[in-house]
Amino acid sequence: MKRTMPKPDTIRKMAQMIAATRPVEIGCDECFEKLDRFAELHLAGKNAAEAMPLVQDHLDRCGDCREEFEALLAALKAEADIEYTQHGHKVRFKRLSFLRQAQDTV
Amino acid sequence: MSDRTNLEWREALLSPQADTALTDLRAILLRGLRYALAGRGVTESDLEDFTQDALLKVLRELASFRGEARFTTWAQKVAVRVALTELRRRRWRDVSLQDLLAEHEESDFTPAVLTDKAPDPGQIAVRTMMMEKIQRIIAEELTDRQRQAMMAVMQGGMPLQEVAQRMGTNRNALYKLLHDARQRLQGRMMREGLSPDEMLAMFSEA
Repeated sequence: MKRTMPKPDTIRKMAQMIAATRPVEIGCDECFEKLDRFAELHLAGKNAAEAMPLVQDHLDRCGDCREEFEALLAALKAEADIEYTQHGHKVRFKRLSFLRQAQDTV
Repeated sequence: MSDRTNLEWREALLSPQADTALTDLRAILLRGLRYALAGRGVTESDLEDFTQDALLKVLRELASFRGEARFTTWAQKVAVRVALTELRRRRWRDVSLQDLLAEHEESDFTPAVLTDKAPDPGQIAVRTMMMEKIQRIIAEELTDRQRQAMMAVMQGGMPLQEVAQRMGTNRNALYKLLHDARQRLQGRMMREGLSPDEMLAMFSEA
């Protein structure tokens, strides 16, 4: 019977993932539970990764959760911009943090 | 309209006169999803459907909101998951796990050395040996289920959600299964004298 074999590029990725594996990682459910708080910290320009390292670690590993986090950030940034327009100084997130995020994604 | 406190949101949505709060929340979620899903080719009618489904889910799960973030952030998180779950389902609808894995059967295997870009032949030889070792360890250490899941995600690029659905499990359990698999492989590598740092160093510049 033929067995599915990993290609060299996949083996490289696997080797990196295996090497970076930690005994304690949170799953998708726990990540999702904390994602709103994590996103708010991030948008407030705080070090969310330091405050919630296991969430950051999970986002680094899990494509599904990362995709959801990025989409959530896009939604929240839009909302914060609208609030800023509506309330002027009453903006809830620091606008500078958007610039920082833009740099992160380069 | 999003100036309500978390408590006010909850009370408004639970009250018999929830209409205004629902209208406000619907507008926030719809607007958020429009930005969240920009560039993904979703139609206006998709956005309306996702918002409606999200609204129902938010109401169903209201009791689980613990107030650790703003209510609207929590609700938007629920909406984003609803929408992306559906978009992934659509995108992968016609791909079976068997088809995905069959694309990468053994006959297609390209010897690692042919694709290695390292300039130094000695380095290539060491890395080739290492790749063969990793392949062997994967074959020996993992269960069929672990191997199948790992290949589908890492080589096939299928989202965890979709692999999980095809394997009769859920995303969280699949992540745990993959974590167990990675730990197993790491343990075996270490028993064979390969530290994680050495592995990272060897493959990071590849």
